[in-house]
Amino acid sequence: MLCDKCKTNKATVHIRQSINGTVTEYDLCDKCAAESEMINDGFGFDGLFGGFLNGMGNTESVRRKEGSGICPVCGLSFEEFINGGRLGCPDCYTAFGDRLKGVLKNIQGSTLHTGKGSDEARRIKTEEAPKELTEEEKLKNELEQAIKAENYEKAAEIRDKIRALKGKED
Amino acid sequence: MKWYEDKSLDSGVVLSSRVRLARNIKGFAFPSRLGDDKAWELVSKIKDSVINERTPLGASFEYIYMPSLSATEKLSMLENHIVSPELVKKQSPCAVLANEDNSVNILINEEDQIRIQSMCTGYNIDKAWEEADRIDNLIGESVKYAYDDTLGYLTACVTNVGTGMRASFMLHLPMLEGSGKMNRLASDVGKFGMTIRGIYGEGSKPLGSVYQISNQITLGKSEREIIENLKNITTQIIDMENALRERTLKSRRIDMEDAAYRALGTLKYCAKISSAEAMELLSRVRLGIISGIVDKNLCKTNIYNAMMSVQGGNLQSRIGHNADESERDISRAAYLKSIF
Repeated sequence: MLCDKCKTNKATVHIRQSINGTVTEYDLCDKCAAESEMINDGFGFDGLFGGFLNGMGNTESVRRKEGSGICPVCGLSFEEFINGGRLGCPDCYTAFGDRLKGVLKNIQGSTLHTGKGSDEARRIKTEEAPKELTEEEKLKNELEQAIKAENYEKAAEIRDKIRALKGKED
Repeated sequence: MKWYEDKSLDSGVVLSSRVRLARNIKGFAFPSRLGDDKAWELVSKIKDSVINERTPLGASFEYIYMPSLSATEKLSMLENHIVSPELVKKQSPCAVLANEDNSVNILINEEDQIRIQSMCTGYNIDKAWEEADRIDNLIGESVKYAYDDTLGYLTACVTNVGTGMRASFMLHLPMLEGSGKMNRLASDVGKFGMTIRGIYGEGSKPLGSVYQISNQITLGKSEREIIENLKNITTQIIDMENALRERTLKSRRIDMEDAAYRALGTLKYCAKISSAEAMELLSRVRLGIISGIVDKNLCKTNIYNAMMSVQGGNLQSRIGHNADESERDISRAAYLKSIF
């Protein structure tokens, strides 16, 4: 789609303007959009979060990056979310990633849950993390045993395993 | 007896405490993007997680399939604060699991797939939270919630993500309202991440001086912290309301007596009355009861219950057929006569 203003460049930004219920939509290229007063004014964004987004001068909400901004699970676009105020499925949170985090930061003032289940979730995370270390320690112990027993063939085998493990960490 | 029929509801500024938890199940879209088949699957899945032989919880819950109710029945459930306007409007599969005294309701396929709401009379938010938490754990044993390590419970609206919790108090604030302090109060509580709004009536003038104060922020603070903050702010509002009332009682007791008894007289002897007038008068009588002017035994139920009962849907339920406005006004007066 070509830019509605210069009719030369590819349109990357979609602007929806609503005045007294009359909706007008434009598709502009990056350059024309940057020049456009409309984005700086930030008017025309309907929906629950229009105010929040305008407040933070976020023009990204209307940026239509090709192939991104659509939840692969439920098909909701970030634009639809901004207009409707609701997400489509739990996976939207991952799909909209940082852009959604910006919205959250603005509305909630935080992006980190500290309530129910958070201690548990963090405990599991920290328990999972040292698992590889324990494996390495185990191998190191086995290596020591093998050397003590002068079983060098086995020791070499274990040494390779430790190296492989370390390689994975790098 | 339903929780809202408890006589102790007329004993102070706080009418009730409520905790609501929003939950969704992993692998299912939020209700707005859920097809009817999946919505059905969820209704039965969630129903089974509560009503089953494994948990002692099940026996006390009744299953209500919303689309099968009449418009009047739905409206009545709305006025009793069992369901939300969203659930009343829905055509796709949605349901409610309600316990015997309606103090715990589990809404299925509202804005979120699961909404657990727990109500208690008076200033009892801790009890409401403990009950909601317990039920949340029980459901969580049979389903896997949509939960993110960083963001917590994932919800359809980003205003609920994290704890998914909305904790609130229902307050009767006739003095603060009468002194024109509500707007100021609303902007002040906003600074602390709370919101206060009228429960009944539309537009700028809430009916019956009944307000709800609740947390706005659901992410970054734990449930306990949110509840403590809410209690802190609410206690201050209660103190302000009480101080204003005490002061007025000292300086203008006769005016307060006059207002309360005139209201009582009208409620008892009118032949027809609008919902707005009934709410205003009930509020004055309640203020009279709290002030020790009016004997609370003069009313057969508590005033808050009466306020719910004079709403259109509840009246319609009692009338039994679709009544027009004038018939409702007559029926409302008859009801009020019966309780005073």
